[in-house]
Formats: sequence, structure tokens, C-alpha cells
Amino acid sequence: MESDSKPYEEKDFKSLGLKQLVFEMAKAENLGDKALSLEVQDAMGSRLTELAEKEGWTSKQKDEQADILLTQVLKLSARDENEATPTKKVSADAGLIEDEEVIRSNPEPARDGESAEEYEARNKSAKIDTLEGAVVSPVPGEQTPPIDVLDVSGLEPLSGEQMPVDDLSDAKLENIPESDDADNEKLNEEKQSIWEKARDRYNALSMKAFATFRTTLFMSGNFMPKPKQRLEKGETDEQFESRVRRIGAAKLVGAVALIVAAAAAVKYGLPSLEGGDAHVSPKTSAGLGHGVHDVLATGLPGSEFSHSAHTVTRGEGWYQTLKEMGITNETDQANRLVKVGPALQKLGWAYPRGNSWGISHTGQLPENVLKLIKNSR
Amino acid sequence: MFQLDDKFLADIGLNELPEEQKKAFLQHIYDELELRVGTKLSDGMSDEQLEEFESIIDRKDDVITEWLSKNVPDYYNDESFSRIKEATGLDVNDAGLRAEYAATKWLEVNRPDYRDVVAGVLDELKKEIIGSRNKILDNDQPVV
Repeated sequence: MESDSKPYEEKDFKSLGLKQLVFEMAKAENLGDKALSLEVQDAMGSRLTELAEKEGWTSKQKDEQADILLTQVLKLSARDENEATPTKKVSADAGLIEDEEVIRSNPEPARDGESAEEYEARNKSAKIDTLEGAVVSPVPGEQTPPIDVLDVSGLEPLSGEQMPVDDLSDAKLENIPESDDADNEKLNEEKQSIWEKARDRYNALSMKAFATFRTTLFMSGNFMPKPKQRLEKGETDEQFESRVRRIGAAKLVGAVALIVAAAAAVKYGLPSLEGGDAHVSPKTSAGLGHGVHDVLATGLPGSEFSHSAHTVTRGEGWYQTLKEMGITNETDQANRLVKVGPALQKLGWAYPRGNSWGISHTGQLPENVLKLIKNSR
Repeated sequence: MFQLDDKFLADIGLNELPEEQKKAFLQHIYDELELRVGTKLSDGMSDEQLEEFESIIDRKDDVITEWLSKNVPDYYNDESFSRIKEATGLDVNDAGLRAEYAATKWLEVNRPDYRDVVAGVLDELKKEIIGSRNKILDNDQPVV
């Protein structure tokens, strides 16, 4: 059961707009709190889904917007001193051409505790996109950019199509700054850039994986061998590049394998995994389109409730669940929650939060829990 | 079966970890799992195979189309494709659906034992953590 002592659990990310969520995720990345980052990201995903449904976006358009948001997060966060460097001009593998003026006006990452408005006030010309209210034309891929971020989003201005992802070998290297890391000073610019390129490519792929599997557990890139290790191992440039790329690819394979093999989503929003015999039935290993949280969401035969009502994702609250059950009247929702909150707590699914109740953990709400709510009127 | 939750921490003797550190520790374990599982699964694979997987994740349609036609030409009738389609609600021709299915199937084709690998790595890691229990609790730092 979650306790009230966890500030991140108490923060209702669902109530925040995309702009604020970008900041919150960047701050979480900046703090190195990947779990919190995932939680914010999940709320971002939900918000994006709402917006996509409202605007009638195709999944491609939605994916593009997700990429844009994550790009913003990467630019704002600076967990790794080599990452999100303000002077970096091109993330070639991400296909993202960054506007130099915007970058110059974003000299610092978001600070802990700083709101989007405070950040924007501190960096007067730096505006973060919300995407909310973005106008998407009926023409697939074509977008009208009513908000400033689209100017730097990598959307080709004429067709609206995303810029092609360059091959690693074609990555532009100019303006990639040298690292401050003393260990890396021994390396010449070309050798350093191998690592930079591989990391950029990896970050770009992690965004794609996010769009597919909704996971960015590997976003930080901290697992990759550092240039220093190239010297220690006496590797040639080619050997080092090959090793870096293989490790990046291996992490990607591992991330997907864990998601596919995962059997449930549990407390802390982390996937639960089959140990011991570790065989996940085909039924539970498929249907991963909604991400780690929904690996059991392949349908509950005989249930009178929808799949979404059964599924609790990170950041989801009871009001969302009630809505998914078809209980849309807000007064009715509040009354039911007050009434059944203690019973839900006894069942391990709720914890007191202020005058209301929070959902204790992600996963699949059993039929009896939903029936309890349904019959509580 | 075990889960990455409070019970898992209790099983490995780390339920004494401060509450605020549990989440970070479990996240660290998951990160480590990703890397170890991926390293083991990709061991023996060629660079071309890994690039193929990256391209699928990258949603390169030409690669996905070619891979599907070569490996699962009748994927429309594959039960797992139907399940993913049903769960996602996406159109059969949706790029995201095809990418997700192709990535999942790619694992099955190239490493049909991937679930066993995941299980084996999990067990190894669990034993390592148990062996380092005292150190972890003393330092309050993950050592895996």
C-alpha cells in the first residue's frame, strides 16, 4: 500500500497540461529519478491520448507528437553533462533540426521545483509547447503549428512529414561540443563523437520504442561504455563504435524482451516478471500496445466492464476508473468514492489522500472491485 | 513467480530499505535487467540482425514489410497479431501495430528461448542481490 509520505504519489500529474508535464519530466530526468519520470511520462501519454481522440489524430500523428514532447524533455533535461547540451545543434539520428535561436534562449534546464511559467520567465524567449490546442489538419501528417515548438520539432515545413532519420555514418558532427569530462579530454574530437553519435541514435530509438511500447526505461544512456574505456581496452575506433552500437542495440532488445515477457504491472509502476519457470502464456505476452502496464489487458472474458476500466495505469486516479466504468457524473463519482473508499482500502486498492482516495498501485482491477464500486450507489 | 514490488524486496531481505529508496532500487534492478537480458539475447547475433531490430523499432516500413513477408507472410492470420490488434484497437495497416507485432515476433524468431533467458537472468540477479544484501543495507546503495 502506498503511503502519503511519497510526494510523487501525491502529485496529481493527470491534472497537469502537457506543457507542465514536459517540465515535470525534464525535472525528474534532471534529478535522475527515472521512476518519477516514467510516472510523469505516463500522465503525458494519457493526456496525449485524450488530445489525439479529441482531434482525431492518426496513430502516426500521435507518435509524431509524442516524439516532439520527448525531444522537448531531452532538451530541457541535463542529467548527463554530455546530454542536452545547449550548444548542440543537430541531433541527426533523431531527425531533429534544432533551432539555434531557441537553443540559445534555453541556457539552462528546468530547475527542481520550478514551474513552467517560472522557467519561461527566467528564460524570457524560451517557450515550451503544450501541443494542446494544436491544429491538425485532416491531411495525414500535415500540421498547422500554432505553437512555437513546432518550429523546432523536426517537421518538414512543406509536407509536414518527419525528417528522415539519418544513418549513423551520415550524422553531422559540427558543433558537437567537447565534453568537460577530464577522462574524455584524452580523446580527439572524432573518437568522442562516436559516443555522441551512438547516444543520439539510441535516444532517437528510445523515442520510437516509447511510441511503440511506451517505455523509456533506457533513455538515459548511462549504460553505454564511455570513451575512457576505449583507451583502457586499446580498441580501434571501429571496434569501439561497434561495441557501443551493439550495447545500445542489446539494451533495446532487453527492454522489449522484458516488456513482452512481463506478466503484470505492479506497485511502483514497474513491470512484474515471471521468475522460476518464467513461461508467460501466449495470451499474456501479446497485446502490448498500451505499454508495460497493460500486459494483462488482453481481455477478461465474461466481465461486464471494459478493458480500460479494469486497467489501472501509472498516474491514473479513481475518477478516471469511474469514468471508464460509465459513471460520468462528478457528484456521483465523488459520493461513490467516499462510500467505498474504506472497503477498497481493505482490498488493497486504495489509500486515503486528503479528503478522497488514491489508487494504491497499477495493474488489473479485479471484477469484484469494480462491482463493489458499481453497486455502491 | 515474483514481482518487482514490496514482496520481492522482502524475499531478498531488503524490506528494511527506507521507503523512499525502494522505488529507486527497484528501478535500478529493472535497468540492470534490461541490459543483462539484452546482452544475453544479442550474444551471437550479427550486427545486421541487431540493425534489423533497430529498424523495426525505428518503424522503417520497408524493413518491417520485408521482414514480415519473409518470416510471417500470413501475419494477418496470426493469433498474436489479432490479440495485439484487439488490445490496441489499431487498424490492421497501422504502422504502430505492424511495428509492435514485428518487434515481438522478431524476438520469437531470433531468440525463441527469450522467456527462459529472462527467467534465468532474473534468478541470477536475485541471487546476486541476496548475496550483497548486507552491503546494500549498509551503504543504502544499489550494488548490482
